[in-house]
Amino acid sequence: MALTNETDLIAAAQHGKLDAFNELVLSYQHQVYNLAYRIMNDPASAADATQETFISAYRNIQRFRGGSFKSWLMRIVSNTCYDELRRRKRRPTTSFDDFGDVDEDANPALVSHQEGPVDYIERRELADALQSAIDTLPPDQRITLVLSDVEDLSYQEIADITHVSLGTVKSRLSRARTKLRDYLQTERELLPSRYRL
Amino acid sequence: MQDARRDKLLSAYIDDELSPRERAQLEQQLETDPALRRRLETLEETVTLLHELPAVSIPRNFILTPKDVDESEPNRTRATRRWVAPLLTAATTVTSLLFILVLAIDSLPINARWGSSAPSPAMDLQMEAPQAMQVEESAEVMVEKEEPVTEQSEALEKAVPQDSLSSGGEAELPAPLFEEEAPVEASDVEEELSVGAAPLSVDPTEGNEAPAIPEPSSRAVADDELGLADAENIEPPSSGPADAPSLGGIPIVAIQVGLGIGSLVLLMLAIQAWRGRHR
Repeated sequence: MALTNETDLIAAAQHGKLDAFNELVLSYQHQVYNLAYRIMNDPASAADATQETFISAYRNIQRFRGGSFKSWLMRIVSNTCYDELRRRKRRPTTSFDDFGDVDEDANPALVSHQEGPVDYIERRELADALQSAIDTLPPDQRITLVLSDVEDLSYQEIADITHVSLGTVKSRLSRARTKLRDYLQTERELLPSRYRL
Repeated sequence: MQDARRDKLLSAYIDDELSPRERAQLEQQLETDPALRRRLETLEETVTLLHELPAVSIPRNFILTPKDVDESEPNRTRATRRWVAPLLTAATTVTSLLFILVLAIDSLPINARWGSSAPSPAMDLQMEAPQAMQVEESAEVMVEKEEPVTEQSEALEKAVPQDSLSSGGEAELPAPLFEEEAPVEASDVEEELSVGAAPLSVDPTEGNEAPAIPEPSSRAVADDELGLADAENIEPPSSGPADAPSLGGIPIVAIQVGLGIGSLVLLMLAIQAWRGRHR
């Protein structure tokens, strides 16, 4: 989306134009949902977080003072997911494992790469293994890792989104990567053979 | 701890976030330490896997409908939220200052606390006390003045022949050497003092006239009665348990507790409001 166009859409949304805001939703919903999914590891929770993010963004669009609209959205969805994870920690819910086999269709499909079924399955196994590893991290490390290594944001952008210093970003990221590496080395059978560390 | 620090350097090295000096030192170590080199490789592979993590497709569109967002709400919510946090902060500040003020007042000595404040029953008694004490002092002075007269009277009585005394009647005393004052009773003195009349003038040359005492007015009588009552009942103000300090009839302890709890509650609400504002 051209910058001018996005700027115009934001200005229109700030004047109460819902249609203009929905154009922005269409542009960013994939990124917002993927970030929410990687943090929450649950399609339903990710959808709720995404919806809540856009509603909150529309209601607070007046507070957006310029800069990266994407970073602004990332901040909202990160905070939404963080609050939900903390809430779950205080009030643990029943694990999906207690319900037996999980319906595969309940998991979101990977974006098609026009690949063969074997490759698709392998890629799916890899994604599931990595997601299981990410799920073992505490919320603050998880969010930092996903923003950096999945969403490819810079240290400064991550610091702005999570309201912490650059030093804290570096610490959280190094701890998250080390834990993930150690987990994947321990549970190496989870990874497809050619991806094992 | 050593491993954590080393991993932090390796992680920053992967993202090219080291200073030139740190980078040079680390590369030197990597050349000579195979374990460190292996550690870096596995870390890089992990990051690479994450970079290649496939995107997931969205289950549906997330465009908003007017029903999703009450369009009349945002402005009201925004306006309300804009004021709530500063208002709660101001309320917390005021309540906390009042709490500190009440604490300070309670810690002052009683005399200093109540000395120049608004009138209270205790203070009324104190104000009356000096007046009553003045009355007593004056009465004492007058009694002292009477004493020489009494002594002289005794002397005169002795000079009077016993016969006259024994006859039962009152002997006629010779004219006094000086004009003795008519016996002044305490009530008379108080009358004059309360009314603010001209001071008693004792003029020996005037004869046996009683000093001029203005007729007591009803107000003076009332004041007199009050003064007498207060004179009899004056006690130094006590600060025992029965006289618990209070402000406007409410015990200070209760005010302190209320202000303390109020400050805490307002502080928590203000923190919540600021957190919600910054989301």
